[in-house]
Parts: sequence; C-alpha cells; structure tokens
Amino acid sequence: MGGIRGRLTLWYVLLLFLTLLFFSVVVYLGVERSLYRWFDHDLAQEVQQFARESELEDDGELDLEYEVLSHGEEVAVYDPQGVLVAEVGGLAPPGPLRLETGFDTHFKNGVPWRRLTIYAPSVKLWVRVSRSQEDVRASLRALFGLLLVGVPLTVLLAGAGGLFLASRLLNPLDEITRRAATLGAEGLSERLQSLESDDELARLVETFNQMLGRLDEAFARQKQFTSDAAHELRTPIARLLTRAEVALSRPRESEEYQASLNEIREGLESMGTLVAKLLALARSDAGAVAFEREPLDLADLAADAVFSLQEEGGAVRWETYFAPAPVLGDQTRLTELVLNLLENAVRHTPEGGTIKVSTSQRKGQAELSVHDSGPGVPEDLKERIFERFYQAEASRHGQGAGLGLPICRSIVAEHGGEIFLQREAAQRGAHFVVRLPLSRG
Amino acid sequence: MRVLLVEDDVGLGQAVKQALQEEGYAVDWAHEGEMGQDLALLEPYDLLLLDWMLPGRSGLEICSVVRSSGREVPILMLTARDAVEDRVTGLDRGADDYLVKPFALQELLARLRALLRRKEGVSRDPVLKAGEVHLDPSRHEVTKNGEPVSLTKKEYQLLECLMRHPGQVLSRDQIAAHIWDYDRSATSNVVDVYVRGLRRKLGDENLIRTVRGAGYQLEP
Repeated sequence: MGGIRGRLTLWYVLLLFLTLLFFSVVVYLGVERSLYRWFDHDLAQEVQQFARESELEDDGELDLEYEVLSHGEEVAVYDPQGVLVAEVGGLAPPGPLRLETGFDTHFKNGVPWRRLTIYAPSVKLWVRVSRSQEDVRASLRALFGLLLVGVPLTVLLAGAGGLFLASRLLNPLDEITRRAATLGAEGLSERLQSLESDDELARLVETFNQMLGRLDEAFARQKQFTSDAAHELRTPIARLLTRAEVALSRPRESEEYQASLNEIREGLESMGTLVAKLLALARSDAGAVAFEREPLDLADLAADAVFSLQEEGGAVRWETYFAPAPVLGDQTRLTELVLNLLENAVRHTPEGGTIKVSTSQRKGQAELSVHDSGPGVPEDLKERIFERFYQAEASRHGQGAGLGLPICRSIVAEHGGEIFLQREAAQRGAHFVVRLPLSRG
Repeated sequence: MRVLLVEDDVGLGQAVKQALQEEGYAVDWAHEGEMGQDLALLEPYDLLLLDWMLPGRSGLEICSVVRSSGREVPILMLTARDAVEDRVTGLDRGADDYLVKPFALQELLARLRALLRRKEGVSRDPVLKAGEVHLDPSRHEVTKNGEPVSLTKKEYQLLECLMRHPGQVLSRDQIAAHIWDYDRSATSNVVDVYVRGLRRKLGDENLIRTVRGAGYQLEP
C-alpha cells in the first residue's frame, strides 16, 4: 500500500462517502416529508368519512360509525357549545371547549399524536380524532438504521474494490520499476520485456525502450568519437615524438635541428587546428556559445569565399550564380560553413573539373548550393558523411580528419536550417544544399 | 580589438564583458589572477582590464609581471580602493589608468578608447584615417568620402585592427588573434573572406594590400 495506490483509494472512498451521505440525507428527508403528508391525508379522509357516515337517528339517538376508524384512534364528539357528547379512549376533556377546524399535534407518553378537528354538518357536532404517529416514526427509524449500516458498509466494500482495481492497474508499473532498476548495471544494451497487453502501460514500456535505444546509440557514437579523436591525435603525436627523438639521438648540424623543429612546428600547428575544431564542436554540442545574429547575405559570403579561394589559385573552374539570399546569422560561423563546403568541393574535384556555386531564395528559405564534379557520394553513405571522423574515401587528406561536414551540420543547426546531399544521377559529383530561414527586410 | 578582463565578481564581470562585446571588442574573461596572468602573457591583447583584489594573484602583481616581460599593452585598473597612495602604487607599477568602483560603463568605454588612442602614439585625433576612409571608434562609424559604409561587427573590427597598425604587415593569425576571442575562434582563412568583403564594401581594392605569404597591410 502507500503511494499512488493508497492515495487513489483514499480519495475514491472519501468521494464515495460524501456522495452517499448527501444521497442518504436527501432520501431520509424526502421519505419523512412524504410519510407525514400521507399520514395527514389518510387521517383527514377517515375523519371525513366518519363525519359523513355518522348520523342522527329518527329517535334522536346518535349513531357514530366507529368502524370506519381502524388505527386505534381516539375520538371525541362535542356539541356546538363545546361540551363533550361522546368519546372513545377516555382521555378527552369534558369541555366546554372553543373548537376550530384543523390539525394539531400533542404528545402522550413521549409519542406524538396527530389530531384533526372538523365540524360535521350532518349531525351538527364537532368531531375530533387523534391517531398515534408511532408507526411513521418506526418506519423512519428503520430507514435511518438501514442507512446508518448500509452507507459505511457500501463505502467499505467499494474501498476494498477500489484498492483491488488500483493494485491491478499499478502492479505492472511496479514490475516495470523493478525491471528498470536492474537495467543499466550491465550497460544500455538491455531492453524491458514488453507487456502482452495493448494499453497505455504497454506503450510506456515501448517508449521507454525506444528512449533506451536512442541513449544507447548516442552513447556508442560518443564512445566512437572519443576513440577516433584519441586516434587522430595520437598518430601525429607519435610522429612528432619520433622526429624529436631522431633529432636528439646524436649531435647534428644546426640546419638539421632547424629542419626538425620546423617539421615539429608544422605538426603542432595542424594538431592545434584539429583541437580547435574538436573544441568548437564540443561547445556547439553543449550549446555553450552565444552567437551573433546579424543581417547578412549568403550571396556576399559565398562570392567573397569563392573569390578568396580563386586567389589561392588551383586548377578548377568555378561557375557561379549569386542571387540575394538574406539571412540572420553569425558572420564568422557562416563564413566557416561556406569555406568548409567549398574546400571540401575543391578537395574532391579533379584537375580541370568544375565547381558550381549558387545562392537563391526558395519557398521562404535562403539556399546555398555547392556542386562539385568529383566522384560523388554513394547513396548509402549520404548520412554517414556528416558523422564525425567519417571519410568517404580511404585515403586521408592530412588536415581533413573528417570534421568539416560535421562542423557544417552543427553550424546549420545553430541557425535553424538544414544541410543535405541532393540526389544526383551516378557519376555527377556531390551536390550539397544548405537551407536557412530567410530574413525579412 | 581584443581585451582581457580579469575580474572575480561574476555580476560585474558579466556586465562588463557584455558591454564590451556590444561595443565590438573581442573579450576574454579570466575569473582569477593565475589564469589572468597566463592569458595576458600568452595572447596579443590590445588592452588589459585588471581588478585589483583577485583570488590567486592580485591585479597589481599581474601588472608588474606584464610590464617586466616588456609588454606595452595599455592597462586599466579597476578597484574599490581610492586612497591616493593606492592610486600612486598602481600607476607606479605600470598601470596606465585607474577607475574606482562603482563606475559608469560609459566612462569605462571612453577611457578604453582614450587608452587605445594614446597607445598608437601616431595621432591624438580620435578618428582613424586612411585615405578617404575614416573610422570613428567612439561612434562605430565608417565613412568613405563622407558617405557612411555599412559594415558587420567583425568587418568593422578587422578594419579598425588594420587602421590602428598602418603600414604594418599583419599575418592572418595575428589578425585573427585580435578580432576573435577564445570562445569564438576562427580559422585563419576566414580572414581572407573578411578582407575580400571589406574591399568590396569599401569599393577599394588597393587600400588593403595582400602581402604574399605574409598577410595584409594597410596602405600608409
């Protein structure tokens, strides 16, 4: 007991009790009222019949129809002056009395008696009949007793039933809790056994399992990322270490030292770049970097980036078409995005190949499209190339390290946009499309 | 312009950092003295803002260490002490200016501009000039032939950086270190794209010269 089960039952019982209490009061008061009304009605009918059927005989004898009265009533008959003429019961005052038509109630030995007084014109006499209300009171007492026992009993039974139902409902939850408690000790690969039923709880288990699945995946990705990062860093470190050890192994000319140090510096620089990229990704994952929102035009960014790459030289042809594509964003991050995509295109385009770059507005979005004439990306790798450290081809290009596209994706996500590979016929190169929310005005 | 702020009070530090960033400075904020000193010696800051009382290492000590390492970066001390002897001690140890807490942010910004201006030593004119291009640091305005030129924050900072070092060849890494702080560092070829954008917006290919293999230079 305890917990939801107890609370649920308690509330249920309390509500039921209040409902039944209200119901009982209404019923009791209703019955009481109608019983007394019916009593008065019956008494009046009898008394009227008694008055109607009693008559003055020819000989002046008074013939009173006592048989009409069948409930042990007391009767008193008075003449118009209020003097007692006849009676049954022996308790009527002899008079003379001032009499009036109507009901009244008096008590005899603690029992209420209802008394009706009427004038009987046929005999020119007052008739006064009293009937005990003990029967009505007994009925009401019986009803009260019934309710007094019945209500608590009902509440008790319903409470037990409620507890039973609540338990039945909640037992699977206990089961789920117990199973979930044993999970995690051995890792995230386990799943809860699904329930046979097809209800909310089964769906809960299902949802829980799906969540475990996603966590499992994220966890695995994180592990992969860490080990990849360690590998990426360990290789150049080993190379630099070897380089330094060779240089130190015996006395050398200063030119040789200089060459070694230069090589080591270059290696450290590229490691620095890699670490900076990893840091940028980690910060972006953590949502830690607040970035600017400035009005910018993708067309300008792309044009400037293409221009600066052209200045560097290279043996590719550029085909560009820049239509205005205003966005709100962080200039540094978006410039990195454009540069990453363009450098990626240059890396994969053979000498003499063409790279098409364009910007446009489409369906309320600013679009940047970069289409190289390299080997393209196989259909089944279209998602994987956005994964960290993943590289489509086996050969690794020094600085590449497979972080460019993941960084692109995180920049695009920060700006509330999307990046994807456009579907192309085979051997037509990779075609990246970035869509960002268009800024108005 | 890149500023190092060394301040242990979180509320004040945050306010100052934000105010400086909104003015277009790249800001690194160190919460305690040790880290502040390391950064001051490692990075090419244009200005240091040091709190006097700091956990780890006082602003005064950092000031001495920076000066004895031969750096001429302007230093502005922030402090709650306003006794004359304290001010004298601070200035004697190498601080350039002194601001007593509490201070108005407006005054802090104005003093920063004044310190940066004095550092150039070239001209006391607050407006930087290069040919027909004028840059007013106090109003964040760039004009060419009197016509306003609309620049993004980073383009403005790049231009300011170049204009404060006229005739000097700045490498892309040097430029990057001056206009990006640690949290938003960028690769150095982003600088090329910015330079390209600046040339386009200024409508002048020759003001900023590319020095092959070395970097960029503002035509003196």
